Amino acid sequence: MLTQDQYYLSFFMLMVMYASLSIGWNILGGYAGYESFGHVAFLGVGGYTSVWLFVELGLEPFLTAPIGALVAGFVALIVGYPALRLKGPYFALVTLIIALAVQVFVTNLPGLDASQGIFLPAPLESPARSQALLYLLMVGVLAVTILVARYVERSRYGVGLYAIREDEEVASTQGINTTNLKLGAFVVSAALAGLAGGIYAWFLGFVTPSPMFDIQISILVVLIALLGGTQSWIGPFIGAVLLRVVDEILVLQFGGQAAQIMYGLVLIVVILYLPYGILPKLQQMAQNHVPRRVRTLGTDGESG
Amino acid sequence: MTLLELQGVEKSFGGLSVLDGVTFSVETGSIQGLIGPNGAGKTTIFNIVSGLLRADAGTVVFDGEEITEMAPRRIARRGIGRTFQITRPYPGMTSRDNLLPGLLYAGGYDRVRDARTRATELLELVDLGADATEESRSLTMSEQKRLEIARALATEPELLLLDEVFAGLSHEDINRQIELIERIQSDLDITIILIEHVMEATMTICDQVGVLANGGIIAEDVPAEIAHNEQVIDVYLGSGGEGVGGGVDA
Ligand SMILES: Nc1ncnc2c1ncn2[C@@H]1O[C@H](COP(=O)(O)OP(=O)(O)OP(=O)(O)O)[C@@H](O)[C@H]1O
Ligand SMILES: [Mg+2]
Repeated sequence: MLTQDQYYLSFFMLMVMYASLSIGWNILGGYAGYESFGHVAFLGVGGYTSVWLFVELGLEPFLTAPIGALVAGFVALIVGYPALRLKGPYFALVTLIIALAVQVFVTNLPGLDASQGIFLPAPLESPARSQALLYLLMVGVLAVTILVARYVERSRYGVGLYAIREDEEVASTQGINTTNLKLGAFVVSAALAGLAGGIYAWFLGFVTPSPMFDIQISILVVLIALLGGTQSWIGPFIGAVLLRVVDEILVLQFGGQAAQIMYGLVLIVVILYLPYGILPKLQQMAQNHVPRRVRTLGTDGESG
Repeated sequence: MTLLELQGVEKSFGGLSVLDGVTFSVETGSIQGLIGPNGAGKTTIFNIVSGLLRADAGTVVFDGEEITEMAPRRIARRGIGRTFQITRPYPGMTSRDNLLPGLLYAGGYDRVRDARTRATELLELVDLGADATEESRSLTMSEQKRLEIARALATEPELLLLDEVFAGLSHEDINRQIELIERIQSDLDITIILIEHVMEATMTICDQVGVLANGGIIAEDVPAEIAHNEQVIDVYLGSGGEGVGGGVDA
């Protein structure tokens, strides 16, 4: 049985992880409008990089997670080049397939023996303190992800990504190297997922492909961003908090199966009635009370 | 001095030959009109010059450099800006934000803040100063056309390609637009190619007009001469097109 503390820790761990995955996903999926359905691939690559580095070299999570980020970014660079030539549903489908292929590839690597599951020991003496430490590290991953996303939003780079989302062909007639920008966003968002994966593997302790490459994570990451709103990092952040809370309440109240169905219904209703997500709606409501400046691109605190 | 030169440009789509050896040139500092019946291939020429389409044969030389095979982004940075016949503003962005990509990626601005300052100036130049924070999809047709002109100017072009920026405008708006284009031309000292069906506008502001029909330039002359050119009148009447009439004497 889980103790009360462990229960809360797991709950917040997942909330923080989903927030950072979704904020990272949004750099390509929201800002540039390329919605990947294979984001979990990079979580898995980061996770199994951690596993491999520990098994082979005995490295600890502080070291393995950043290396996991690099490896995930590198994988994105390779698969991104062909995949990003496709758009909309074709891109979504191909990324979904890529995630399955990456899972098969990684879990069949010689020496990993992944299908059996691999045990990672707690990094500290006390398991409880280990879990707390890993949670803090995941909060660190979230902080890094938010900083990266904020930087992109305010920079020249973000303006280029927004232009691609709005009209890629027009963007190309305005000096934008659309291929490189998209690829860059894909690599950054994958690397951030790899970082999270590196920590998550240690948190799981016993690593198997099913949680590490769970296709549901890919889908949830997209839903969270759409639910919250894709314009800025705040949308997926709010989305992750809401989704985790609603999910948990439904499971506690109605149990697994019923919760899944209700959860789906809630999502459908929200997406139907809030096509731009919750954040713009909240802003709109706030605007009706307090006049606010219209949000513009690359807002750096001053208007021109 | 010649700024742009097309030499024997050919383009077909599937079996349909649209351009079959188009040759013409544009002088630096001029406003060059390009007219011709519907489907003659005028927009196709813009697509080739701006790099969105590849010519099947022939060359495009801009400012002494061949750009026939160049990618659109390089052509934009090299100094050619364009608008689209069916307006394509970045729909979810405000008017001012619409200008940021061009300024930052081809107009020589590195910082978002500086680009935003310049965007505000450009919006004022095209009389959209009051709409800076409007979402561009909520603008009227006339405003969208001006926004596209400003967005093209954001890339700091030497050559500006305007595709039917008068179409669908009221008489009043046409006069404003004529004024605007003359102002841009003199203030910013750029060369303009203008595709147009609205003869009133073409005749008023163009230094030179080329007529595209049946895959090639069939006539090129000053506006007053073009209006009376037998061959041109034939093409327009023969095609059942809009006709050269109406504004010819304007
Ligand atoms: N990308 C394309 N693929 C296939 N056909 C095309 C394409 N672009 C243009 N065409 C065809 O080429 C011909 C010329 O089109 P274009 O748009 O250049 O004409 P236009 O002179 O600009 O006409 P309009 O005055 O109606 O704008 C038309 O028959 C059009 O259907
Ligand atoms: Mg046309």
